[in-house]
Amino acid sequence: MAKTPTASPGNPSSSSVDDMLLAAMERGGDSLETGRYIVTYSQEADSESRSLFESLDLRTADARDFRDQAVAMDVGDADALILPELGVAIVSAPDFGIRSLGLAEDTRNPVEIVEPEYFMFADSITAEYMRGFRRAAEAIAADAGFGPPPEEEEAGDEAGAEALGATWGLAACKVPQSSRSGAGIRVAVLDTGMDLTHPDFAGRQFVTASFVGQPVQDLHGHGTHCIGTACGPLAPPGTTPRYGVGHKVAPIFVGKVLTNSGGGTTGTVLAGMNWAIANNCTVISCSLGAPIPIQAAYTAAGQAALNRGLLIAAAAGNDYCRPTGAPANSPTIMSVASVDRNLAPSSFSNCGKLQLTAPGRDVFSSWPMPLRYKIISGTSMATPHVAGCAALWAQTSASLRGQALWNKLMATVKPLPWPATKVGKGLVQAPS
Amino acid sequence: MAEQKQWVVTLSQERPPGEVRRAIEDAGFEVDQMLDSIGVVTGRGDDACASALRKLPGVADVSGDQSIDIGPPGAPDTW
Repeated sequence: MAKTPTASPGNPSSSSVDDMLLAAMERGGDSLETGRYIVTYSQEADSESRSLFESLDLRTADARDFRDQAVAMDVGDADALILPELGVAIVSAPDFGIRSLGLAEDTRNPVEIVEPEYFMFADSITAEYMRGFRRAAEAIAADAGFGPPPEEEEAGDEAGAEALGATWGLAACKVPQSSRSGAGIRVAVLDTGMDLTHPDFAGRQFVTASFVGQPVQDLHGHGTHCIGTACGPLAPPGTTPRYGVGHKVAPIFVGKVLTNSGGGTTGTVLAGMNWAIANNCTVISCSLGAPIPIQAAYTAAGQAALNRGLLIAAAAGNDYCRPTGAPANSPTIMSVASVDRNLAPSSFSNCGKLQLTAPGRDVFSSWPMPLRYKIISGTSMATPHVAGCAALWAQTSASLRGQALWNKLMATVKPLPWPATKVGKGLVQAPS
Repeated sequence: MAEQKQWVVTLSQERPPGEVRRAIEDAGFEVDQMLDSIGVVTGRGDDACASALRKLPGVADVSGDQSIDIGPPGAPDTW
């Protein structure tokens, strides 16, 4: 029995998923239909499939026309794409929903069923992906003068922060009140790379290097998130809250020391530290580590940085109050713990050797497109808050470099009513 | 042949880095990276080679290269 799809504007079978998502949002409603149809035909009728669709005045492409049948949906202006191995065709035509009525009931043709095609998402990100995509599209439309600005999204964690125009993390660090921007300060973020095409960073200057044999372009997300917090824009589009500290940091040094799967070694991280120090990056942010004892090489790298008037900050780790991992456990590297919006230690945050703490729970920041933004948690998210604030402090005086910058960050923390083994000396604060 | 492993060699400041590099290569160590700004050399050798390096003047430490894993995108457990 054929299912009768509702008529809706079609998308060419070669449309990108993003194009179709935009079209679906223009149509409104909560439907996850793409606007195209999946037509299943009987296998014995394979030889007739092309003539069937052509008889319906559909421009038709067949996967067998492509090398290894690797069509990747790039089929030009075709209205119907036949996938012979599956016995299905993806059909797109504005009125196909109506024209297909009765197709399956007609015993003279081989069509078994006609169904709407639906968007598919990895389960873990569906809601966030849709929210992020909708928000981005609405913000672009609002900026261009089409329609109202986007409504406040349900990300309740950010609701209060948006009222202040900044994330809760930036507000807790007194970043919005600071007159400093990080202009002229070099910040390196050693991580999974960066989405170099992210629209929030258009016009920003990057210096990049990869130490893991992959392009710097971030296919993981962690690095883009950390760079967003340390160096993101003063005024993101629409009502998106400010989420970046050093909005005029330049250049942003992107060292890819972790692969797109999130893996690396001591050697790749050391190579990144060596590169950042050789390039005189005033602040070097490392949201990474391993649950291992102090490594002499990391201690040497931290000392080399301080000797040259530079500072390395690293995440303590998220092993639920187990000892700070490496490289943060080295005495020459500033170790960063995480607090939540109530300024209480995050349950996941490691304990022990800590210099200070920063917002790390439910942190909103940039994410590779098309998602654009994401809220995640960890001492990894706290560390770039410290790196960004360090860049602001460095801008206040050329003498605040290396150990002097370290001392200033420590001297200006907001004390918290928790033991030093959980929050270090206190919460990092930006200069006025 | 003994198993070749990745090592991180931290240099002390008591000897010029170039001189130390020659010494560790003479001990059979295959240098991958000479990280001059931080005084670290990475490369390959077996356990016996690593033990020999630890006795060389100008070498402060020899440790195995450790893996780091922040998890795949969206992993609940990161660093």
